[in-house]
Amino acid sequence: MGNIDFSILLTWYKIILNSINILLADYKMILNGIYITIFVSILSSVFAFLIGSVFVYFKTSPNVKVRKFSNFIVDCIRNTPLLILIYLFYKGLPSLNIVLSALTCGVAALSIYTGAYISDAILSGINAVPDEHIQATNALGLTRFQSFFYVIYPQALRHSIFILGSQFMNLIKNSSLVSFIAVTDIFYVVYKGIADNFRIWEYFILAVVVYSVLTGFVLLVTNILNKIYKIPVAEVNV
Amino acid sequence: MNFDAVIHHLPFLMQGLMITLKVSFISIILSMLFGTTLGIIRFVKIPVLSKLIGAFIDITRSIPLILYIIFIHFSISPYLYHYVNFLRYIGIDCLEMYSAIIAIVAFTSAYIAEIIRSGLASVEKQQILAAKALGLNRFQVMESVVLPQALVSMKPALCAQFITLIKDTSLASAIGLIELTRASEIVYETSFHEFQILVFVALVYMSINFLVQKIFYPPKGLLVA
Amino acid sequence: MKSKLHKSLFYILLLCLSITLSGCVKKSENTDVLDKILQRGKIIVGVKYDTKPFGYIDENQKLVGYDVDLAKYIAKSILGSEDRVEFKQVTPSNRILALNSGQVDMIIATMTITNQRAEVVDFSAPYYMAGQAILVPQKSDIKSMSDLNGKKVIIIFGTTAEKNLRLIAPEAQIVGYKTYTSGYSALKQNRADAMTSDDTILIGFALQDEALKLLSKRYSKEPYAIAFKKGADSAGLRNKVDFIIEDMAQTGKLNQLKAKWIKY
Repeated sequence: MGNIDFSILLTWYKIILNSINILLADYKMILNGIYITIFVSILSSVFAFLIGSVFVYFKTSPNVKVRKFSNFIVDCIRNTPLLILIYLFYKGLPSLNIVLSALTCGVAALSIYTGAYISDAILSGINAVPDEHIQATNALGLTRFQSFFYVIYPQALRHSIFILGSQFMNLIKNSSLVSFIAVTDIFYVVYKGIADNFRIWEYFILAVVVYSVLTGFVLLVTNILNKIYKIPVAEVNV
Repeated sequence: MNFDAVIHHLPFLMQGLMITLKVSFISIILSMLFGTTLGIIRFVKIPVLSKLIGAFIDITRSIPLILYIIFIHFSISPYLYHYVNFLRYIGIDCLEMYSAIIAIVAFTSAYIAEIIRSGLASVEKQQILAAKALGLNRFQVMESVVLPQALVSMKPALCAQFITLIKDTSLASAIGLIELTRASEIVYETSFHEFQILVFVALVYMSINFLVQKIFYPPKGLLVA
Repeated sequence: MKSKLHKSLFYILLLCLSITLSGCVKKSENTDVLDKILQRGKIIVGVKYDTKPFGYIDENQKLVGYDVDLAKYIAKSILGSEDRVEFKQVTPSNRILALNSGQVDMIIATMTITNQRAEVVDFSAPYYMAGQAILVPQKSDIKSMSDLNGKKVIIIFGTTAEKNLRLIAPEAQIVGYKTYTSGYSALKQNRADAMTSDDTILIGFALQDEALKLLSKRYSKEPYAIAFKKGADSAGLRNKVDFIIEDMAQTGKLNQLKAKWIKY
């Protein structure tokens, strides 16, 4: 019993106060980091959505070669790590004399990567659109683009709200990788705090809170949109 | 556009690839073990444990893996390093590999637990009731009725998760583990052929992942029925 | 329902209590570092692999440098032979971690003595005095640190360069990279206007690349020292190494090393 030393219980209160003070001293950088994370996420999600929609348009083409080729391209993008994609833009392109800013590289790589996943998400939504709608558009004489844009695509979006929401949550988490190319998002601030000041637990809990709040917010919005817009599927009870 | 730099440094890049494959392989096995256990505990709903594990899974699924890697590397693995000596026989020989495996396993187990739980829950209740009506006991129900159907529904999610795991080993380059991404960084920082080397590394990752996809979904005609 | 709630609260309380109490028990094994070195017959030193001229890999794929030679000399003094030393690569971000986890016995990696670091590691006597300097492209019109206001400056995580920068040029935009080489390639690609770090590290880049120049002013005194794991375990090793360094300073061995590696 002589080994037990109770002083650690007495210092917990002081430790917690100390941690909060340390975080508050850096609050400008932390707020800037959160702002940059949100900015990068929103910008990338807009572009990713556009890129994903273009990919899915080609994936549902009547031409077999176009379909196979776009499936192959999307699979290639999905099978490379996001970090390699970011480095290709940031460190690889300067070899070819194209120097883009860190923010551009990060947003471009994130958009392309998430766009590939979004194209698969929208594809699952398209498969849920009943065949009769597509046959009706053919009967009405709409061109392929018109039938896609006015009939199939909106319904596919409404079917796939949930899975699109989870892709946006993944985008927020993947946006932490832009800190590797010196974009000062919240993960950059956290890594700096850990490497420079040796404060591990404070910055870790800060990052957990920030990312949980951001992803929780997206989850909330997804649930609300789901309730409003989801097309009810007829339940069959045998 | 010549690939001479790649060919010149190929041995070093292959060393990095070996480390990547080693970390992926060990992580897949360990995370399947842990993930299945956690998933079954969540499915069966043990009173306190399920809620705690549920909290752990929810938090892990909302933070990026790189945060886990950094946290475990800086805070937990220094204290566990004393026990790492017996793991040298499996081939884990440096602190970074140790932290990377622990972080990746913790992270992926949460996802696999969710996949397993939703897979088990997707088997309709009528199937279980019918099996019980036929007189099968609990274990036979699990083994012959629930598991086959659950495994089929889990297959795409598991394949995607394993591919994500192999890609996420590239994040361990942040803590200094000399796997493929970090090895390529070391190579092109001194030889300045970044584009070729990065394209080569991307192709290597693509081929590994395409191989994993082919293992899960063999092309028709390869499996003799 | 009430008893279920009480039960789960009791389990959570038990968990917290056990975590707390486990931190209270002290370790009782023999972890003296010098004893471990003598037993092992080899000393494990953490050095940099990417920093000319202190620790780098030359054209023959061998690890050489000022810090490397210092480590070999210390190994010769303690264990009798220059070959009884094993090197591990460290970077500014992970060197303290490698030390505290027991992966290396000591670090010789261009580490400056600061009060903040002295709280987590123990330092030896200083073996070299460097200064903070600024590396800029040849055509730049930056002449001193106060010109850096409003410009982008590269620093490396885990180094001491940022404090002075914030004091003298508070409006500078600071961009941080994890390794010196990625900071250097970012400077070459004109993603920033300057890079600041210890002059000994930057001179390595400036000498091998005519497109960059090192400004002549030095902004701080950076005493490099060898770092040991904090606590009584490394006291024996630390005393021995302090003695060796003082001996090297008096017999002129340190100046010999400086003349060999730092030719400017």
